[in-house]
Amino acid sequence: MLIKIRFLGVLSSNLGSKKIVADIDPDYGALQAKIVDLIGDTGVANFVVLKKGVPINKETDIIAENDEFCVFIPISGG
Amino acid sequence: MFKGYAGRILHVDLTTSKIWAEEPGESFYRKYLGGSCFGVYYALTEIPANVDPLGPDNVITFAVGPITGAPISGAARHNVSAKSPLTGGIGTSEAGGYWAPELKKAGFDAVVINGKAEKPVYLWINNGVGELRDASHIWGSYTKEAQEQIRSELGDKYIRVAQIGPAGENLVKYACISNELAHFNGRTGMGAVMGSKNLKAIAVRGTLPIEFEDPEYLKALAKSGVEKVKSLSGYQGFKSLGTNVNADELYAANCIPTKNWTSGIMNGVENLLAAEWTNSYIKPGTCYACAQSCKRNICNTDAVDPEYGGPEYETVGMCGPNLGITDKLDIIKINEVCSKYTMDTISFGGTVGYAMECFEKEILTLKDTDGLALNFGNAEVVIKLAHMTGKREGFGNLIAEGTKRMSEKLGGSAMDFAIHVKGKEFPAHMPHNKSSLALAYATVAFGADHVSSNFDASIATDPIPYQLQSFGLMKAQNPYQLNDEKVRLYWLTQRAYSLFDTASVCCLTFGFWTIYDFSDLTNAINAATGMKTQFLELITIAERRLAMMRVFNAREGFTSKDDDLPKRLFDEPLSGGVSDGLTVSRSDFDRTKKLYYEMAGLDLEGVPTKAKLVELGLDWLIQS
Repeated sequence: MLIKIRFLGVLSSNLGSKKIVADIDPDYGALQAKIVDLIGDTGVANFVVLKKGVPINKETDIIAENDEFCVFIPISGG
Repeated sequence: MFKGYAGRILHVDLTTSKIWAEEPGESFYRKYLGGSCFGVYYALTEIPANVDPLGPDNVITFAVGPITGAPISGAARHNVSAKSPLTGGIGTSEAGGYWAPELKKAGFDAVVINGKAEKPVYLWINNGVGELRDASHIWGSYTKEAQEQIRSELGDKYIRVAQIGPAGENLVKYACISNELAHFNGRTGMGAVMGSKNLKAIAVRGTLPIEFEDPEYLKALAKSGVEKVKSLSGYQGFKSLGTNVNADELYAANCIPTKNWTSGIMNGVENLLAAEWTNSYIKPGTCYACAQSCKRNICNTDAVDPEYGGPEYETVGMCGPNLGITDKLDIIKINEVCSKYTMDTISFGGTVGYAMECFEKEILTLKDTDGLALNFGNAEVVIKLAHMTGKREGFGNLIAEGTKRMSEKLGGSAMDFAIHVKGKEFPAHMPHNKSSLALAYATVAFGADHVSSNFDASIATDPIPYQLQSFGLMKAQNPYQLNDEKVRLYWLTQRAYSLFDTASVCCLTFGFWTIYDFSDLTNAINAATGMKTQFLELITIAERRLAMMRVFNAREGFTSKDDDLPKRLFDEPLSGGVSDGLTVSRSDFDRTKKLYYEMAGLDLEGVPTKAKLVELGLDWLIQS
């Protein structure tokens, strides 16, 4: 299933801010794993994933074909 | 006496020109630690109740912390505190830069100033000696000219100058204090207090040694910070992009304050994302010994003098979309003008945004504004108005009073969309999508503030950062929901941020997503002082500061009614984008505010209870 991921803020400085198309299984764990894989060894362990401006809820949100996700680190106070 | 400190506090009476040094001893340092806690202590003990904040009886304190002067990232902060002319309550404001370590090397942990000089003066502090000097010839100067003149006449280009520009001299209610021209004690109008005392500047130079308990540990800690920034691209990213990364996150949520908080999004705001700045006009700068280097400097344009620095996110938000402006050069220019006059860009942007809405609603007319067409997006008029405000010329005289006083003058329905708490304009983060900020903005003693607690995205991550887990915050939360867990987030991290301001360290370097964590901070304080403290004691000192600030406000007549938000946030949904329709829930706010009071040991009026004061060793405040 193809989805799009866009890194914002600090993460955009080395991953770019253009949308990345990724092929994942339709579940939160797969999305999380893909993001961790893309982030790599940046020293970043905690990030927020937004869908339509709102953080995704891993227990209730459904991940669907062509969904777009924004990923960022909450700097300072968050 | 503990190591790490200078052990002396300089007192200056500007009315009599008397200068003396106090040596308060170990128990004072252990109880109040430094920074803002020193400032609030002197505000409570030296300022009589109900004095005019712009009168001679106000007392302004500059203070540094226990590890100031160690060459560690984020340890070069200093605090300025006094009764605020903007809020009428406690005023307190932090700055980075280079002034703080110089003060300690000059032999002092704090400078406490009262009275009013007969004519303009500046205070010259050099290796243990304070001296008042005539400042008549630099009164009225922009900060760059004043700094050059002071360095020239004292014959030392390494003198560090904390000073006010014309806005401070003209008592603009939100005038700030700059050091090195581009670092600011930005908020609560501390620059106006300096101006009211005819005090143009405090110039410091010190070559005295600072003796630390364990300098090798401090060196190793400094080195580890440098290595992290070098080796981990996450930290390099923050160095490259600075606080403007906030724009990215808030853009994605459509929650950048826009047109006086009527919306969270507008066309063109993509121009203001972090990488857009770095790819055009911004390069990293820094503070004393800091590897994180998130300070913004200007490059690639002759439109402004780069020595005044570049815009941080708060300036971008409040002088950008909040005014309907999305052109980077316009924002850079507004930032420069505010810097040379020493005006807080948050309060200036908030006040002008309010005036623009009044103009568009015809509550203000061209006749009121001296012919200025104050429409959203008119950057040329904003730049002109910045000059007028700094000089208090024409309509600028009303802008200089801030949002609250302007709204009180206009009255009626114009009061409903005046965006401030206790007279202090909001920073550029919206409680609509950072719901715990509804509580923080309403209840912080010195008015709406964005660096007094962690907020909601930090607890929306998966997993939650270990630093937050160490506070017992374990479960991810919806940023939009103001629930009991958010009260815990606010209260538990409010004490942590109070510790940063008390230890005089930077919340972008120590704390949550940062180079150093709380163990590093505790260890650094011990390595500097030999105090053998623990985190529990430090967090108690931080809470002591929070309680003292609320006692100060209660003494000045503040009640629970002052811990409230503007009507607009509850009643007027945001318009446009994915944030369309968002409001703050009044019922959630009222309920969680009550819970916060109980959690923090405050009574129904928001005053620390007797039990809380006794617990904190502040029984001396019970009478007041």
